Amino acid sequence: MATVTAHASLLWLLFLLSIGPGVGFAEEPVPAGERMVPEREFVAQSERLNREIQKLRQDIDALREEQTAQSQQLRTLSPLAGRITGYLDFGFFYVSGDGTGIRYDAGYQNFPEYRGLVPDSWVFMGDPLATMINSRGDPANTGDSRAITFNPIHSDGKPSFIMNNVNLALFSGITENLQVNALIDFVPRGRNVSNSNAVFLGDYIDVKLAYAEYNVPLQRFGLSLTVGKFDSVLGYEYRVQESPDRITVTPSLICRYTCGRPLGLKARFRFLDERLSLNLALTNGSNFIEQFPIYDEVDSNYFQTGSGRLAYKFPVGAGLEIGVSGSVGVQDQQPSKDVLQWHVGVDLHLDYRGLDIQAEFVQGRASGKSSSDAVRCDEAQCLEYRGAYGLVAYRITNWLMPYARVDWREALHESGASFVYQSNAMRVTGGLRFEIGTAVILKAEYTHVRELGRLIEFPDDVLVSSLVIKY
Amino acid sequence: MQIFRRVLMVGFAALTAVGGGCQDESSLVDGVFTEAEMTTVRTLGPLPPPAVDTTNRYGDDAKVAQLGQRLFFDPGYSGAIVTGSDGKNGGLGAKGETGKVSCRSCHLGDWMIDNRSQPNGTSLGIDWFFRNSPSLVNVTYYDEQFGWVGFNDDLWGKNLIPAEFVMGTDRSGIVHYLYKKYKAEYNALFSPPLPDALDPTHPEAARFPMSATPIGGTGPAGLAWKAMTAADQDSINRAYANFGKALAAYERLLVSRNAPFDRYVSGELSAISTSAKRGLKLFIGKAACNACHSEANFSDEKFHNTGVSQIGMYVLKAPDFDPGRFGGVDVYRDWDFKAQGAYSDDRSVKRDPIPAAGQVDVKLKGAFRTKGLRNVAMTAPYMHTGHMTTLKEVVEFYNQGGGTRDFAGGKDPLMKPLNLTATEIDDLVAFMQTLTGQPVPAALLQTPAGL
Repeated sequence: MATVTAHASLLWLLFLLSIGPGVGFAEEPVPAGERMVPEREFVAQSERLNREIQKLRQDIDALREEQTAQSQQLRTLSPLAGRITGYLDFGFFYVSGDGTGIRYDAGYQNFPEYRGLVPDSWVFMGDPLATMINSRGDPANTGDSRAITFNPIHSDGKPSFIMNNVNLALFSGITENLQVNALIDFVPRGRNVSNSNAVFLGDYIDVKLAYAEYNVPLQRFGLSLTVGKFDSVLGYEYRVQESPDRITVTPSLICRYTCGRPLGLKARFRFLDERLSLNLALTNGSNFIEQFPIYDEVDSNYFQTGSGRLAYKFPVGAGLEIGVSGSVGVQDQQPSKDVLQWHVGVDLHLDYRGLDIQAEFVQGRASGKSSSDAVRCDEAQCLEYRGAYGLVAYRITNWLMPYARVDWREALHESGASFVYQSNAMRVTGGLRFEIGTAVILKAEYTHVRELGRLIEFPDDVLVSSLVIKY
Repeated sequence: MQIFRRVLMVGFAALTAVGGGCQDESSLVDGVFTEAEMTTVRTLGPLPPPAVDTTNRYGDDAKVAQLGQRLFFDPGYSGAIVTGSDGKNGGLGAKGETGKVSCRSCHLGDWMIDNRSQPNGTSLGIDWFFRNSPSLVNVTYYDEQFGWVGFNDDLWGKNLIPAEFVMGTDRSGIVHYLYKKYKAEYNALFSPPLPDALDPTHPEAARFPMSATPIGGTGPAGLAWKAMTAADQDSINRAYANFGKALAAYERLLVSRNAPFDRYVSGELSAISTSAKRGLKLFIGKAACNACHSEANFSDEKFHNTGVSQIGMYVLKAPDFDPGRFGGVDVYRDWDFKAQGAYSDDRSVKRDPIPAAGQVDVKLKGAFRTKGLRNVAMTAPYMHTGHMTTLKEVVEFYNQGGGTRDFAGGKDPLMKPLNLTATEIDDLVAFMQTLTGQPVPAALLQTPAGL
């Protein structure tokens, strides 16, 4: 405000000086005795104003210096102080058929071995998550599915715009080595509030991450300790599952096994100038479920799941990272404490001159528990799976990246007479990713889903787009 | 920037074009059902004419059926009333009165259900019974399990159970009644004729006590039965079997077919509503109702424990609750009128083996035979307890995976939550309402002259 006033005064003075002799006074003659007094006053006033201007300029420079210093200090300190960021993900999708990735085996035409054991309409063929339409992994429709009953999209094969999520990332640096992070999705979804039997939530909040991380000040190697709800340590895809980070729109078919966000303790070791890393976690088993990823936040079994990943980054391009990971523990969401689950996987990631390659293979099993030979897996669900994906993306320009992905999953999921899922599907995805400036990302992809083996082929291809705006 | 825009547009155009080529679910029957689903639907209808019951040679004899109708409406052979009318309970007479309760008393109206007893969950005949009286319309479509717990494996033999267990009389008393009131008709239809010694004035009348039955244990009727010769016991049993066969011949006429659902399956696509079609798809799909409600009578004739709570004033209570089939097997095992028994007209029919005493599968505890769903919208109240009054209530019960308390045994593995929405529940109800067939001919529902 002071600066503005000073500038205005100066301009006013200059204006007066410039117009004074040549315009106003020249036209109105003044008595000679009276002309000397105003000129002296003007000169004195001018000098006084010049001094004031000089002073103000000095003040402004001082303020600028102070502001610059404070800004620099703030920038330096900001990672430790706190940060709120996030993104908004808006999309459009169309899934052919009825929007589901499954069909039931009417009349036991394909799986007659279940006749008399499981109703034919509860024998499902396909993958209930094959028709995911956003980075959250929401399937377009779960249809008649019984293992996965949460149906927040419920497209019924209709094309639709969708506000996938509004994301909020919170960061706070408590001390130089201690940080707190949270990642929250606000998910707008429809809900018929008149339906008291509804199995959907309507709008909901999903606290995806909430953890404290302590970087242990060590010289010889890096070590960070994490407690809370954090990212999985399995595979690679979990690191890029948020919309802005993910190259594709949708997760791979095996993300359900590696992208969960369990609760527990984690230690991350880094050796050899961070080329070699080892992640170890002791968590609830909630990242290991054949289910839409809303987990039991409290462990429902009797012991925790141990998991780990060992990775080495070779100096190829920006890095060629190869990792092996696995987990073992008591099966989550089961009443029985003597049912073990295990999972192993290998993963690869290469970032080389704009070329991004990701590949993973996973295999796992939960043996379940049966009350008799006649009724399988009725006391604890049985799950056996294998799956893999490969993703290739190339950054043609700084704003355009086409990509292609092939993923496959074969699984058998049984729960007594309640359901059987015979899954064997391969998907081929092609897409384009545009980065418009630093805050806007536009992605579009088409996925062809093909059922394999004894499964019938049915329409469940997916067309999706996603507009991501970061803030 | 212009290049960028062009690339953007071309990219989206390409993707949209590809998207336009997405596969489409085609060749749906009536736009609703796949061919495989339609194959399943066709197992449920249309309802054919009843199959011949080879265990009852009189089953399709019109004159025997006429006799059966008289016997069905005739209260004359019933015994003394135990629980009389209190003016509110729908009772059939004063305590101690005889000849007041007929089969018709608990199978009333066009759909042959009990809407008289109050409370209406279970039925008041001679006394309160602990289960609901099911409709007898289309009862002939069951093949081998009759009654809530499969008390018998043929219809005529099943008829003899309430006659002897809940009507305050026994087989000897009924045969005496036949002799007294229907001798001529009986002898004209059945062979051998009723023994003359059934006449109380006959010199050998003592051979046939007025009350005698093998299920009488050590009571007077039981002891009287044991005192009879085997030949006389056989005479009583044969006449009693023919009594049951006459009733069955009448019941085989209580048929309701050509429901809107049947017409739909036959190709009349407008016979049922859109909601009902969705309900049918749910019935054979998501809800898997046809896992038990299968075949044209919508019953697999197997026994399932759905966890129906023992709710009602006169149902069997804790701690044992209603044993269902687990207890019914014991009656069935020793019943003289099984399909493969001495009084069957075709002992070659196949039936499941009857477990020996003490070897009944404990899973049958609390299990009841799957009820056929034909005309179900007209036959409330529902369940063996009769405590559910609407179809919506029933569907909501199954939607929750059945009951959770106050029933015997453990629930069937099939009893799982169905995850149906409110709309889907309504659709299922709409479908079941399409199972109401044409009414039974009025003449079959009228009390015969002279009764």
